[in-house]
Amino acid sequence: MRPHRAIAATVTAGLLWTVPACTGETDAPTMTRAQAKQQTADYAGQAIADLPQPVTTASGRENGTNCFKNDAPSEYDGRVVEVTEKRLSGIPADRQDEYVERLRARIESMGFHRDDSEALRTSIHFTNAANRFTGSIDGIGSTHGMLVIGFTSPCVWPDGTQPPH
Amino acid sequence: MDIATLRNADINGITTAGAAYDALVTALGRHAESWQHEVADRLGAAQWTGTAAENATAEIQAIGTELRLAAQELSFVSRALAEAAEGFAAAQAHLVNALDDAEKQKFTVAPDGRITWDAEPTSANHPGDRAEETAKELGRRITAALNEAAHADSEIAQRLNHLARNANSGTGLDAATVRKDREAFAAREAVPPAGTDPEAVKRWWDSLTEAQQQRFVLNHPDRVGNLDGIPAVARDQANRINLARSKQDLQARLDRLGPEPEQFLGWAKGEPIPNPDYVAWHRRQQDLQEKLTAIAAIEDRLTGDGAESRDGTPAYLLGYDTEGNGRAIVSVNNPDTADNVVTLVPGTTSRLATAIGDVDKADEMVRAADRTDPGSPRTTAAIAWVGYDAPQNIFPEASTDAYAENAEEDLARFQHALRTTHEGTPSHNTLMGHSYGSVVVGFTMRDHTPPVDDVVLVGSPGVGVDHAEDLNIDPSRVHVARGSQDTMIKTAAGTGLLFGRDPMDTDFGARHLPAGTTDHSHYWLPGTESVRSFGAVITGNGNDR
Repeated sequence: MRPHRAIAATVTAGLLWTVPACTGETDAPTMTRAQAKQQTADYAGQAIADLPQPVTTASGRENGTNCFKNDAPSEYDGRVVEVTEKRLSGIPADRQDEYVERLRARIESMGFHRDDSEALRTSIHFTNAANRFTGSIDGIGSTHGMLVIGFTSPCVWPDGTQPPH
Repeated sequence: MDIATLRNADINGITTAGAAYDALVTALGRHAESWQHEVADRLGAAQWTGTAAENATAEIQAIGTELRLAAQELSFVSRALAEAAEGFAAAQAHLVNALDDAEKQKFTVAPDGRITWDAEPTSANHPGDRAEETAKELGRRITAALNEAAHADSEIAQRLNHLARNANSGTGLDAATVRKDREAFAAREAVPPAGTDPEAVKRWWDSLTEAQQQRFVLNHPDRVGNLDGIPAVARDQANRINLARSKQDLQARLDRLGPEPEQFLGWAKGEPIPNPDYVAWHRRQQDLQEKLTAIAAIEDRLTGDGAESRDGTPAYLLGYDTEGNGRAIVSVNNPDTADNVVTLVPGTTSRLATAIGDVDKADEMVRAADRTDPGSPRTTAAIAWVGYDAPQNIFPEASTDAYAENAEEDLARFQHALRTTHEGTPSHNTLMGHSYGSVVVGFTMRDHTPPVDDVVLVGSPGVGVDHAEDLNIDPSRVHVARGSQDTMIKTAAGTGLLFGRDPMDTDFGARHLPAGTTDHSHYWLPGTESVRSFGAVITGNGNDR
């Protein structure tokens, strides 16, 4: 191995072990999985409460997924995220902007801020700084009269605290 | 071949003829043995000498040799008949199933294959809104079954003609001819070796009847399952067999481990003496247990609750191996029929045991791709490619080129195979690497130029080149993503000492994707900007803003 590789790798290895300390959150208590799920469902319900008509709302994704270890990005760390999605169909193509604008305003009124994601042409992304939940509007510009909104929790311990090793 | 001929064919007749021929061959073989024991050997033991004796002995031995060669040559006839019967039976079953389905769905199939239906929507016999598409699909299945039978017919005719010519001309009694025929039969049983060009593999696969393909899947799943150029459905079928077999094997090995050895051998100078057998036992036990747990997780995704919780989105096991750290290549949706195909190469610590975590990421990419244009009929397949021996620690392993160098040829061949086996309009293919996986992707692009449309480098420490254009693809199709909390990689890549210039560096020349605040391990979580931007690239919506 070239010497400069060894130096860089040593730097990398040292940094690796500082990451958990920097983020400092993986072992901290969180809301429970059930609470996280309920929160995403509440957000989704509020977001679609007073949409323009016509629109047909249907449940989309309801299952969450796993979070990963800092030092092993393919290994589960025991935490999960919860998700609630709604699929909105039957939106007239020429009025999609109106629906998107209504959803955006509604989501921002719930404490979310729009992220700097202008580069994403088909979606708008939001974060709630108070609890690190995220929200999204997807399918912007869709030719099939459909939008998808979703809310996702941060990584939480299923029972709210890290289980003992 | 027409519908009535195939539907009414009495295939039992061929099977019976093959069995009768087999009986004749066995009898002839016994006669050849008797000739040797009863005549040739006795003559050799006799005290008969002289020119006449030498001539007679040579003649009798030649007759014995010809009898044995004849028995071998004739055995090829019975094998050809048995394989033809298999081929006809499979084709007939496919035809009958298609005709039954047509009847159930209220279609009428004419003797010449034309499909008609009651077009009146209010009629009780109307097949439904998608009648035309369904009729086309039924027509395709019927044609495929007839072609399959015609292929089996043509093949048996060629083989029997050849053997008949040998018999009529007497060349079938010639050792060189019989050896050639034996080699030709053996070749029919041979699977191309690992590493064969995918196009050659595909040509071989397509030359087989469906029945022959099935026989290879069932008889040689270990070789078919990992062979690039075999279609995804067959690889998946073979690897599910491999998965089930290895599960039994690993469990048996775990059961045979025996009791846990003593941890210490005794005491010396007040200190316990470690028992090396104890350490070795635990290492093996952990390895076996970890692999069994991984197999259960993959099985669950393929067929169990894991599939159900993803709305039944199918997964295909395209590669599988339990040797060493183990490998698994899993595709969410079928890459041979999808409109978009993305391959994710994971990085350090990835192995069979962690493959399911990478399959989760593939699932998220399929969902993200779907969300770019909800309601679109276009489909996306996402592949978790744990198809190489990845470094298992940051230092020293992940700071060396060796793991990427060892992987690049396999990854390039896999990318070629995706093109080779894809059906219909070519798919939009993306090659994505995460962390050390991006090094593998970079080396592969630099050295092999695989046929991909976009490259995505996620949380990358460098990719072996200093400029995107050196990856042998239009630099505007090279995308990089790094979350603001992915500090470890940022620092490592910033040194430029590991794998060349930091791909996030403006001078590298790649397009920057929004990646939000993610850390090194969570680019694919739902709700992140990063996974959304991946969806846009995968579907070809990432370049035309």
